[in-house]
Amino acid sequence: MEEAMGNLFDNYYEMAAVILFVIGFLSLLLQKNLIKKIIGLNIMDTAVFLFLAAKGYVAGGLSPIIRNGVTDAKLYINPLPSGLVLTGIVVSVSVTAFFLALTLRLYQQYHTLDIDGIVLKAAQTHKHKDCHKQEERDE
Amino acid sequence: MNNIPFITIILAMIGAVVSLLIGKRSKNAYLLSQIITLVIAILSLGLVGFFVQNGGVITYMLGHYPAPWGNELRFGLLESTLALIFSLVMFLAILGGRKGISEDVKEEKQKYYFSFMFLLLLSMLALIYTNDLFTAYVFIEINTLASCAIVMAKESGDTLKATIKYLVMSLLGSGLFLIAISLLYSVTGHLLIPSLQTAVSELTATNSYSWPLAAAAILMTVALGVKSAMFPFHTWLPDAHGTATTASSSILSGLVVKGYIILMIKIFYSIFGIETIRDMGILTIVFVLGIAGMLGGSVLAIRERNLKRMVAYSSVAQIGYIYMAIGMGTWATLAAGLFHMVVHAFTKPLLFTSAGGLIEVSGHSKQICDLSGAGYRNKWAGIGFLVGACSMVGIPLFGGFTSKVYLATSSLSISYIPIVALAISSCLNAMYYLPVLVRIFSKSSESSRKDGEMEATGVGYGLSITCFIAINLALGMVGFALMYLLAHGVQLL
Repeated sequence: MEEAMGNLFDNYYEMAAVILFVIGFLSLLLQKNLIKKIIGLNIMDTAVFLFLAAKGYVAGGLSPIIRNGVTDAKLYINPLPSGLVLTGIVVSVSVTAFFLALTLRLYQQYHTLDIDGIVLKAAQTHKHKDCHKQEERDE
Repeated sequence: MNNIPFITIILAMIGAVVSLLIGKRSKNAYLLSQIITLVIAILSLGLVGFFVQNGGVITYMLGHYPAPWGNELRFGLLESTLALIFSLVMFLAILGGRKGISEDVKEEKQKYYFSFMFLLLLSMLALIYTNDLFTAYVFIEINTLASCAIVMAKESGDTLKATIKYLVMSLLGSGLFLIAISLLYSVTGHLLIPSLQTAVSELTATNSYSWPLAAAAILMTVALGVKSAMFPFHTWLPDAHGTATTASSSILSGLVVKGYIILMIKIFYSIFGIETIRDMGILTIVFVLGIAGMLGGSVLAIRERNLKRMVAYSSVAQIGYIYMAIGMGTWATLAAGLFHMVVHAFTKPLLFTSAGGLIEVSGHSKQICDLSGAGYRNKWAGIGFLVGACSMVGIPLFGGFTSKVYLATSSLSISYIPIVALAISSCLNAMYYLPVLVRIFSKSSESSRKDGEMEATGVGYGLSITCFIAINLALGMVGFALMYLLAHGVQLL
């Protein structure tokens, strides 16, 4: 048990990343306000970037650009996770932009950012005809 | 031959840009999308022919970096067959849904719609061909955005609400998939599927890092399950598929969810190895959720009074069939599951296209009770719906029957549960398709009054329905040919 706790504290970057991921995930899932959902999405994505960046770091390493002809890989950090983070940021930005645009449209349509309010208003605007009642009337 | 998958992906990418440039008149964008999709289908057909003759798989290096670092495409019989089917369904669905698109989407916005269709096709082709997990993630996100965009293309309050639900669920899935990749990368140090496979098998052999590996596998399963509407995560599907314009519904139900299932199969078989997945207990969960979907989706469909939502719930049930087949985890059941996937990919667009036609001649009401006699008012749609329903219920001579036979025979040696579930689910399918069929072919007083509304449906619509019906019958009668391709294809995974 003590060893497990020790491991957790040694890998505090990863621990923080996972905690942040869960916070973001739950906000995206459970928050009623669309803007808060978007913030949750960004926290979730950023947590993954933190995780990746922490994984790619080599203690004391330099940024992975060859300097003065030194090609010993141990002196540089792992460049691949940084590349993944960059790609992830691009994806995250475009998804956020889409989400924001959609939120804007929803606000124009329903004048609220609350997801429950939107569902409620959508249900009010068009009431479905009840088939059975109509059939009984026909007969 | 080596270049064909890359060319098809690039063609779709070029199409996405060019359709924006020439799309001032929506007809140009439409023609461009149809021509390029057809060209992609023909190229894929050539590839299928090549693999039937020569067998084997080809690994195609992208860029200048070799295996452990670079990016790769990998393709064989299975991948090329699926690419052919996906592009063909795309072509037919847009052909049949053209009228709906021009009614539901504003003229000046249609170029964006076709551009997103290209992006969708491109991302699905990339998901089929890619040999790199992170590339798969990027294309999953492109797929998500494009599919949300084609849902909200029909601008109304309903579609906006459906889109937000779909988007949130999809993004939750994407987030889980991304953290799962990161976990897997942190234990193995690879993203390319063959390297991952070696690394994972070494780790499982020494029994080290079993928790992170299991966590990654479970997270990926859940992520792709959410995106492909596995049963308890299906809540977004009826809204999104039930409110979008006809062509969008067809493609979302017929293809988009399948792309994720194929990726899941790749992860199960090519990265972890099916025995490892079985030991983790994931296969059992997939199997149980599949059966729950088969029954639950059908029950929900029976309760539905809105035609398009009913057809959408039927998709939940059909996806359950596929997951049940994957969950049994043998080569035979996997091939049967893929066969069912193909049958569904051809049947569901037929049903949605027909439903769109039926709704159109019934005063644009989606309620089943308003459809009396609609099968006479739009004969193509009536016949199309009849064939689609027969196929989904599993009447002999239609595709659905063959796939159910394959599912049943392949599962015989494993357990009796799948066969019982198949039987119950088929009865439930009949319970919701038959009343609709009776309704659309009944001549009530109301229908004779609406006879004047008979509309010219256009050549494209009839052609699309005819092709779908012909393929359905072909799958029903000579399905063994496709089964041959799939059964040989899965061996090479």
